[in-house]
Amino acid sequence: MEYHEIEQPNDLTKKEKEDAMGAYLMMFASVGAGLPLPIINLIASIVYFIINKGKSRFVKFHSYQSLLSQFPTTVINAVGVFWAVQIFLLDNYEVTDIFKGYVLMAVVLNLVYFIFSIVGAVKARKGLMYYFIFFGKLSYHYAYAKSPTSEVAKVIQNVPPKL
Amino acid sequence: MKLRILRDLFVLVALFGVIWILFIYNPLWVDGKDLRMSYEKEAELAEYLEKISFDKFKEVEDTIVVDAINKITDRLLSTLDTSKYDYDFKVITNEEKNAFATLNGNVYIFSGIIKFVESPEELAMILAHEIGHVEKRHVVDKITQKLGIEALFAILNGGDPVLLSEVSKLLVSTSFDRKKEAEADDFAYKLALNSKLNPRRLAQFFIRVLGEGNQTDLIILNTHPHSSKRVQSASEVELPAGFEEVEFDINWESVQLAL
Repeated sequence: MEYHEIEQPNDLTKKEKEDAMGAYLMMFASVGAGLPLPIINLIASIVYFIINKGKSRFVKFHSYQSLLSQFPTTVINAVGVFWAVQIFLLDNYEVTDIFKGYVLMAVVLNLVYFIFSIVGAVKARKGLMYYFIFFGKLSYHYAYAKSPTSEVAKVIQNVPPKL
Repeated sequence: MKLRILRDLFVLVALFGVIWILFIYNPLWVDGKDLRMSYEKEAELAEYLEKISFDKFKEVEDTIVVDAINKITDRLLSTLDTSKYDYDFKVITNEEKNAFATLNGNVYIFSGIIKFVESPEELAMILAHEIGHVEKRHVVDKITQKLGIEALFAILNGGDPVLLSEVSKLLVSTSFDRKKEAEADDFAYKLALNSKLNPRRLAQFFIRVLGEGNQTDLIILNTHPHSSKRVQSASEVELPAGFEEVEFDINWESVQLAL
């Protein structure tokens, strides 16, 4: 698999850096609105990604990384909210150690996610790549991998005559 | 590439899975009991609420009734190991078949339930169950859970009429979840055995309650749900070898007629 060359900080415009940073900051703005239903921030991220993915590979990478990394947190938080509603509002389940452990794990996950997102935003503003574990590689592959169509395009490119 | 991505995914899932398991077995969790209202605050709130909300109740003062209730409650309370509460049982003139515990050991017994039960031993079992709710602090937990401790202190500091009416409603309709009802039942069985009462009297009572379930004034049925399962557990209480019930020396008919 071939990949496009990664842009260096000096190659990027200020607008590109800000758009990339915005992908992470979007989450902070929308997470408050999303509580207690943690789905709003995910929708906001999807919209942000769709709008910005065509801008440049650097912006595409950061938007995609931010979006992908939100999925597990959103799912974990949604399950936590659903579970808590069942316990505290509907009295269907009881507070167990498994639930307590889940809530604490979700808190840790959210903290880790927040810290990584802040670092990601700062790095993106500086025009730097920042790879989250798992999501970083996946996003890099998505944003920078050369597609088969671009290979074909390369093959049929006009070339100067051999002199 | 794919392998590395999968390895990272595995690391992430394993990491948070381990964190979850660690927290299950070693939860850095503030025990809910530590966040409970103190007994002093409960007493303060109870005094305030009793004055405002339950003053409208007409208390039965007939000596036959009062003496009978005292006999029953004295026997129950004498076998209670230790209690933080100074219990106060009040008989109220009200035809609804209900009995409920509020805050700080205050228990209300409606005349309707006294007329409904067939013996003082049956009433003793109901009261033992209510004592269970008090001792396990179910009422405190319920209102703090529903309204928040801040709201309760706000009542003490100003007496917001809306909050006050909410608390009163919660106190009167003391239905609890399955676990809390079972806890209060278990408490009642032990208290009954220590008081030389047959815990199966509670099953007897539930069977009659279920049989008359269509009556609109049978509030005890609504406030003590899940009765069919509780009949079973009350019937299955194991009696110690050689256990013999000591019945109350109370003329129950005269008590009922005095109401």
